[in-house]
Amino acid sequence: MLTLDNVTKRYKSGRQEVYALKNISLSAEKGEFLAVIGKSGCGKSTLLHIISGLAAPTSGSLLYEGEDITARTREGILRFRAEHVGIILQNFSLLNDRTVYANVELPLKIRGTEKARREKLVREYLGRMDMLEYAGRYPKQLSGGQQQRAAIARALVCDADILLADEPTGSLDGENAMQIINILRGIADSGRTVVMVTHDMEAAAKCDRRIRLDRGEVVLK
Amino acid sequence: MKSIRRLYAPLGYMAVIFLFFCLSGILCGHWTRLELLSSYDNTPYREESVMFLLSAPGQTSIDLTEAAEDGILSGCAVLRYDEESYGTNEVIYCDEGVIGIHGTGEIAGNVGNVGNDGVVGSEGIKDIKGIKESRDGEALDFLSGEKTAVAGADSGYAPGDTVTVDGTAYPVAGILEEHISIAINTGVFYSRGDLAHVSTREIYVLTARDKDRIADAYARLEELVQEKGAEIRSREISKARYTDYVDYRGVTVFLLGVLAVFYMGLICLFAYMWLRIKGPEMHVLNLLGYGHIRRKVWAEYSAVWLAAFLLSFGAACGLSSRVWMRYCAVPVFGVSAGLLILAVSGGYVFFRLRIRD
Repeated sequence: MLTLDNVTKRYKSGRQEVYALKNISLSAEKGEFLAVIGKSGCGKSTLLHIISGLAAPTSGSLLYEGEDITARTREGILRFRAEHVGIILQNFSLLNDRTVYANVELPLKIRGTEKARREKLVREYLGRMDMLEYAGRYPKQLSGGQQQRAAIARALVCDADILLADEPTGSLDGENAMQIINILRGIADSGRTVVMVTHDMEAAAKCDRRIRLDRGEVVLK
Repeated sequence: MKSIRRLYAPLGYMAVIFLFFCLSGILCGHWTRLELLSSYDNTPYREESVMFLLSAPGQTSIDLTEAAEDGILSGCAVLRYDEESYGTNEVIYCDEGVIGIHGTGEIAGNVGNVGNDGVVGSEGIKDIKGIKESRDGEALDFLSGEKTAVAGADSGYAPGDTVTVDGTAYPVAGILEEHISIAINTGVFYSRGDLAHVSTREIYVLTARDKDRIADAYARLEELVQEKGAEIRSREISKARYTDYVDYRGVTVFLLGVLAVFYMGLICLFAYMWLRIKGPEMHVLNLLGYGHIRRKVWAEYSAVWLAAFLLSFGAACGLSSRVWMRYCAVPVFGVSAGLLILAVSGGYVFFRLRIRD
């Protein structure tokens, strides 16, 4: 289970202190598809950054399976991200000079997975995303929906328990967007925790639970 | 093919850095006039030579022309380098007399060579073919002030031709005999006839085809100068200092300033381009939880610089025939610039990566 316990994130802007998140407490169970909605600047992305360990909370804790991740060293937090978290972003963040296959293979390579197993896993996850036939193409040769599917395959290929999606449908048309949401729904149904930040209420409607943020505070669960 | 594609950028950068270092080397050589000896592209000068200084009291002048004609330089040549208020001179003496003067300044010049002004004087009629053939028995004396030119054997000029320099015509009085020095063979030397002032602040290089000749000539020279109350101070080329030849206070400051501007510009450009290329990869790897990305990129970055530096250093040394550049300019400026670049750009990249994390 993933838990945020009274998390606050504060930035300094000149002499003023700005709260990106204020005393946020929430939890997400395995297999839960959680939507975080709210206006721009309300702290949605900051929330994802804290869950993924990309940013540290000013106060409060991130707990995963009961362990306080924020108490880990930097290396430990990186390891948590590598082992448990998959991230997909609105702009896909694929490496344009590598093929789809190489992009999906990258996290396995970093982990030192042996080649035969890498190949098996990459093919398996590309297959799940219906992307096997595009394995040899470069990201720029794909549509937005295809790129996002490749990014999802990359995020999951290391068997991440948590999938964080920051506006995953933000740059997709309606049909592709719904396809991605359905994929995320399926991922949650397979027992993984999916936390999605979105503006898209139609996409949010597909989630098990919605949390609305306003000025860094949870206003609706 | 995939991996080759990813090498484009580093290879491109290396090419730019490589060219820049080579250019710097050439500029170093040009600005500091470290081509002193190597303008004379001949093997003996490089491999068998002795450099010495003359320490003479007052304005004592050591007449090497006379010494040469007396057979003191038998089988050898001496290159004399001196600085005067009007510029510099490089004079070659051999057992046949003075065969070439090459330098800068107002008094004279040469054309068709390495672009420096210069002058040649010759009192050894034997080595001037044209004179021997057309002016039998007549010596060419530049000291008289007559405007005259003498051309190298490969210069393309013939006796009777006219060399025009800055609107002044110099009739070619003769052709020098084939010489081991390319500079002399390809040069056209002319005189405005003012060689009255000879400095004793000079550096000499004694050279020959073998060491025995050098040793013999050196001993004879030593005896000669001692008779005149002067003293030879021998110098090993490898131990010669940069400041023996260059007004380091002015030239070095200027040179370092110009190089610093170039290098800093290159550092900024390179770091910017490198980060631009590496930025997406660093971002993605960071998302994936790859904790060693900073060290990895820093190591890659340093490796590219180091490889470029070593390649350039080797190429600059290898391509250059400039002896003094090899021993002095390239190590001094190359190493210091390389270290500066590595330190600054490495620090810059590291700092940027810290922020990104």
